[in-house]
Amino acid sequence: MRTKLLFTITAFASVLSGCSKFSLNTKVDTYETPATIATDRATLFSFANAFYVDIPNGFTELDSNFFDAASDDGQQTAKYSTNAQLFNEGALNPSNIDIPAGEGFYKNMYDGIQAANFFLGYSQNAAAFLIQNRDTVDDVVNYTRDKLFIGWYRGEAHIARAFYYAELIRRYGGVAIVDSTLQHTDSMYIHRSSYDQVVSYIVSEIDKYADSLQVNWATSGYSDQLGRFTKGAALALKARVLLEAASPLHNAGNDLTKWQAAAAAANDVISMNLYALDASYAHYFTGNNATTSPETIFAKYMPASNQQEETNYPIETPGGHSGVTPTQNLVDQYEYIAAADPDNPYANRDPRLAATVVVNGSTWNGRTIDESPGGTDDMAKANTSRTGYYLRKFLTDNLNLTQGGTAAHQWIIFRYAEILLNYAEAMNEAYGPDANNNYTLTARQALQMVRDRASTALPPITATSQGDFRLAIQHERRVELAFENFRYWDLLRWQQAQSVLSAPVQGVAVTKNANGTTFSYQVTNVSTRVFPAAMYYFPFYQGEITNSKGALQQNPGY
Amino acid sequence: MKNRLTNIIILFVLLLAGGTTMAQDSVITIRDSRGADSALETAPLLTLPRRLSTASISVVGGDDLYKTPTTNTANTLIGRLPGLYAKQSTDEPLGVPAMVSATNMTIRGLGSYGFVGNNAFNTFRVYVDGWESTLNYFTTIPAEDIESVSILKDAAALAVFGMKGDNGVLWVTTKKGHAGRPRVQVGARAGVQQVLNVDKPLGSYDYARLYNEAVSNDNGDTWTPAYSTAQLQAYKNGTGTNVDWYDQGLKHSAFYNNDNVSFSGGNNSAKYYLNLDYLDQQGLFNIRNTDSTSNEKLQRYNLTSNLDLDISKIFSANISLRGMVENQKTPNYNTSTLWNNMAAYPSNIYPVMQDSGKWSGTALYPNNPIASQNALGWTSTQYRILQGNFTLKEKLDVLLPGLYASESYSFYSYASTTYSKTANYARYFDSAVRTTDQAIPLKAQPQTPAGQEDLKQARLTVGYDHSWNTSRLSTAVDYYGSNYLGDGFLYYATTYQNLSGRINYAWLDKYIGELGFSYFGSDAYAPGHRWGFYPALSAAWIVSKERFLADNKTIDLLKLRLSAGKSGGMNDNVTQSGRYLFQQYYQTSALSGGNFYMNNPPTAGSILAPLYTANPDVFAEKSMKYNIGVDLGLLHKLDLSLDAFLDKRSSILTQDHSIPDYYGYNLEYNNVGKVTNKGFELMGTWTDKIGGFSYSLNGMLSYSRNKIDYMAETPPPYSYNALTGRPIGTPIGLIALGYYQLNDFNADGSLKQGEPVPQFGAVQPGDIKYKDLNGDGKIDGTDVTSIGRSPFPTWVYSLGGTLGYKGFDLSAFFDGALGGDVNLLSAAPIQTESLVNNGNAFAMAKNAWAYYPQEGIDTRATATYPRLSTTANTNNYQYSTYWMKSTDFLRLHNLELGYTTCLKRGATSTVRFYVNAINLATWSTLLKHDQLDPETLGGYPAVKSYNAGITLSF
Repeated sequence: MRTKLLFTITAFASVLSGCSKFSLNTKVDTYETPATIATDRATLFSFANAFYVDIPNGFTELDSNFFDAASDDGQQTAKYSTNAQLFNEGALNPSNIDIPAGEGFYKNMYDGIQAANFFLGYSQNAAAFLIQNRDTVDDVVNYTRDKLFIGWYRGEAHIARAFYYAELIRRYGGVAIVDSTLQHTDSMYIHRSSYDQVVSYIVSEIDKYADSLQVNWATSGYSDQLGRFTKGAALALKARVLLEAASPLHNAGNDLTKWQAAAAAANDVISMNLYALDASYAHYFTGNNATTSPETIFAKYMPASNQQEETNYPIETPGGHSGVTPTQNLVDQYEYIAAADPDNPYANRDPRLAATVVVNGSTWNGRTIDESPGGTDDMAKANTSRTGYYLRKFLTDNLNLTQGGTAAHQWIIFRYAEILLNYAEAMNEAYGPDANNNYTLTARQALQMVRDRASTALPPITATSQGDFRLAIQHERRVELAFENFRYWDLLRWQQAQSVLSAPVQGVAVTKNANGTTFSYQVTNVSTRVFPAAMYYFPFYQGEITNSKGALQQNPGY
Repeated sequence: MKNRLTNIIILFVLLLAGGTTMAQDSVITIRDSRGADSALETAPLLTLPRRLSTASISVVGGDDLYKTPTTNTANTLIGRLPGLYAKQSTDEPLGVPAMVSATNMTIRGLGSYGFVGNNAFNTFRVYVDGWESTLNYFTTIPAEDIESVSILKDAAALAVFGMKGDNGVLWVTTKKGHAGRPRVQVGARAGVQQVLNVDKPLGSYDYARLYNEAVSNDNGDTWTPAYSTAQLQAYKNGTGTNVDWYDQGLKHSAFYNNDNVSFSGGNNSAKYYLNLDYLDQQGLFNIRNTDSTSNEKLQRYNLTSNLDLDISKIFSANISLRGMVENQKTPNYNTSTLWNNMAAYPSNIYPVMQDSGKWSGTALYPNNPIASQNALGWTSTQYRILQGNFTLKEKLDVLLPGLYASESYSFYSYASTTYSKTANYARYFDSAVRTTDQAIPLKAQPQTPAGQEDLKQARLTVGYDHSWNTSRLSTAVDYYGSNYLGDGFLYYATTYQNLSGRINYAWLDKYIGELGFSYFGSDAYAPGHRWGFYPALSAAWIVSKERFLADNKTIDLLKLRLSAGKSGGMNDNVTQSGRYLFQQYYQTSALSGGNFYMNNPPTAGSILAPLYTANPDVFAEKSMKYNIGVDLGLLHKLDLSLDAFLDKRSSILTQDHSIPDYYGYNLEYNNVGKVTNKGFELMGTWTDKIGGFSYSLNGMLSYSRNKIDYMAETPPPYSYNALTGRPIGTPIGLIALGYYQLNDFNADGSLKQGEPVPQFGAVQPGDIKYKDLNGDGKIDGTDVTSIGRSPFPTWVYSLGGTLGYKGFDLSAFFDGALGGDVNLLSAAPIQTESLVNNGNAFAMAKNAWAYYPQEGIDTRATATYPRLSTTANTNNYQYSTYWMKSTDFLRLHNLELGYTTCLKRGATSTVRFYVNAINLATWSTLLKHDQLDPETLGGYPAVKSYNAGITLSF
């Protein structure tokens, strides 16, 4: 009896406890795991794409629009709830920097840096990866290509990381250099490096890895890789970073060797003899033109959209929102190429004006813009431009927004004209306007190339002194690079922000003359601007300071 | 419908008149909180008399639950159990899966902020007859099948639940057969249900009048009416379009019917309980049931059987089986959107139908509520549940007197399928088609599966009960395994194992000590980190058995209880993070969500990025629970029970926002959160007789208040912005200071110097003014702080009484909650944001701020609503103290009159007739001032119902 009973119970017990149903080793993975990616070499390429995602899109940087609304070139039309106000009113502080253009941007840059660090770690044994599950003899073509790709991609990861740091130091000054993937331990609290330390880090990375990059995707046989970094992009980055580092904001003692290094770096790009100015300034910025133009060194490629048109078309165009508009301050910079027309202040101007700005009386979106009282775009109407101007650069004309019409847009990050202007500026500071230091160009020649492409009718540059020539270059940068997110940062690095960004921005009031065909224009102040000295650098977000547990020190003045 | 009700009442009256009255004691049963010797503790593993229990457990009997006729059994628990916060939820005739939102019910308030919601981490677990189940399953159990429902609250009661115990347990026991002659019980009840509360929008006249104000306000405070005086006049005298969508779309009342017949009995070797239950609930919509249209409705069949078999001296067995079939039908339009449209569509937009007989509809208001009900066809869903439990028990006295063992197995299977007939209609207005919709005649759609679940559980128990001299020992250890298979989503499989036990020792029947424990393993954690040990110690002292109280006439029971122990909370379903947090996953999108385009034309490249940083140490949330309780019985009439508790949570799984952003990863989940929750429960019952009257009064009061001690929140700019240090769910927003007045502005419309400038858009007189907390001259997101109390009330209370005389019984039951606030902007946006973005106007906005002296409008001094606007006035509709309202309420939940009589003089066959009313009256400031019910603010509401029924026993 007892035996029988014990037997029965033991049997039950063993059935229950032995039941594999209740094993805790369940496996339910709906995402890729280390095991699945370790056996799939395609994952290498996906990780190599990931570190590009955070390359900033200048079309949407501030209030989902151009960052130039922060500068004296642009004015945000919306009066409330805009982040541009924080810049215009000089109100940035550690608690309100929590905006996409501030803390959001900072976080994105570090996400990009992490993605690059991750790829560099992950692809260390790429060679073993690439022969996995593959017959290297039968599949030799693809195998060879994959090996080449990984070589380039590893170089690109270094450049991407350098690029992200360049964007960070421009805003914050020195930041924490994270050069490998972090573990969540006490050692992750990395201290801020100085601005110069980060600059040397960027330069050393470029010097080490620029030569491992593809030179020209278009002619490499792998044109489907267009949009990735190239050697030219790496050198252009170096030229830009060194120019900023040599500028007064970061070069208090005006150390000429810094200018010389910047000039040499720009010359390295020029002497690649790979890039040239596009034939047409007016066409270069719209559609897919930038992807094929010899002027483009690096651009962020994007699918067709109407986001830019929707935000910046005049409010009276169905679907438009007026968005960021050019100011009178900018319009004044465009030179006359012939005698001024007393009836039309916009006639006979540098053609880049018409390519950049929609002025009263010009044709835009299928109509003649009439901003006078009673006109189609009467400035008294709600949400019309506050400056009397609308943006034209980058926008495709006549998209039907209400029916969802789209156009191609590429955000150009490095182009040859900028390199020429960087070169001119650095050469002028290092050697004066007319010395070539055994390079191919003088500062004056480089500047003239940019001006000639715009119009050969532009008045000649007569400045001979270094100081006068500096002004000519600063003027040219403003006109040539308008709305490409240079102006605000140029004013900072030239230390002109406090004077220029504290003056009101201006626009025009338009009235129709009694003759019914001509207009008169009254310059008006559109909004006051304030720029406190502290804002030469962004404040770190207070939460970031707190979370860094003392590793980050707040910038002075906040 | 009305005829049906009349018939029922007539039938009821006839039966009542024809019945033979017989003198008999009141049938009112009062539940005995001190526990007669026959009353057993409702807790796992041991079969203990309740007096020997050291735990804090509240119990309610199935007969009390039966008093609330509903398709949602969870709604019957409201106010019945001290320590349970149960919010009235919708009475929509929905199927099984959608019945209860987890946050509507909590035990002892909130102890943790982790994963509140459908995949709730922060909800109690439900066990039916000792097997883990779900709240959704519980909602479908017919009340007459329920013997009792308990909530297990303290460490002593939860000791054996391990990682399932931290939020408490709802412990359900169903009925079993008893030896004796066969008994048959027939229950039939029917009733009508009405909308508990609906905040009807204003009619066309008031809408148009307010719209004129709103448009004028938007036009720079210049009187520019959109509706002419003639139009207003037409609305007023009834010649203009004025559709009351609720009136058109709802029935006055909907029918409810529930019938059951049960058989029970047996002898010493076999006992049985069988029940067949049928339930039919019609929805509140005014839709005829035809081939092409269907009201929302639910039909449910339950068949329960429970068999106890004594096979031999050693072996006995229990088999219980429950099958449920549910058919739910609904018009082919999302019913909560439909309910919203009835509120959001103004009365004057169009008549229900055009003169041509076509359905009205415009591009702006495309979904004519009446057409949505009648012209789109219907969907039918079948839900099927089969639950089977098998237990084999051995009395092993042959080995050792008092020793026993049992082996049990349980399976649960759920499946559902849907079937529909669809149609569409063209929207007409002014004899033109206004949208791209085309008339499509009714068409049958193929049947499709709509989900399945499978749960298998097994256990093996060995126990030993022994008494000697003055000691009594009850012990048991239990091995338990559970395996769940779901729809094939993240929740596809979970398993856990639990080795638990209890040792209860009583000396002299007055000093009781207990040790309970659980050694619990979950598949949610990494190998080596899967198991946790959860001990609990408790004691009780029955003071009234001591000599100095034994002869006391006043105090007939005094018992003290004390417990302390540890529980855990297992995260078995974190939807956003992949199934296992210890496992590194990679997602196919970047952290910032962007893309990378290459080639010409640009093409998106594939992307991989780490999902969350794997946390190999991830483990269950911890809870340390302390409880002290007193049970007091006085004069054999009054029973009182008081429990006070402290619950210290730690290791709450939290996405760690204390990591700097230069970390660059998707922030990981760490066991870092901490919450303190404390409170008490008091319940009392008074039972007495005066002459021929017997009566009882009972009441309960529960209080709980929590505080987030740490939650790794992103450090906010100012300490007053933080959630940390405040109760869970504390609303954060701006502090409203009233309205801007005319003298706050300069002549050009700008704010005067010194007035802080709101950053949400231009303000004008009548807009809400806020406090500039940081004094920077701007009102923005850094000026936010706590603007009220958490939506979870701190106090829950109920009061009830019964009165019996001869065969009659009368009972009333009130319940309520105090200490919670609701944010109207999130809970009832349609009713709150009048006229905004083509919205409707509600009574709340009737006295909006407006100043048009020429029109005779001036509410500057008396306004109870900010200035109206037809545009999205973001300044006024910021989360702020302005829109926070108290949800304190008192409800007459249940009122019942019954009469019991014998069918034949002297026989044991009885019949009881009764009428009752549910949710008859509500007292609440929210209801009074803002026309909103404090518990169901939006969507398909709860119901008020009137029922009549018969219970026949023989």
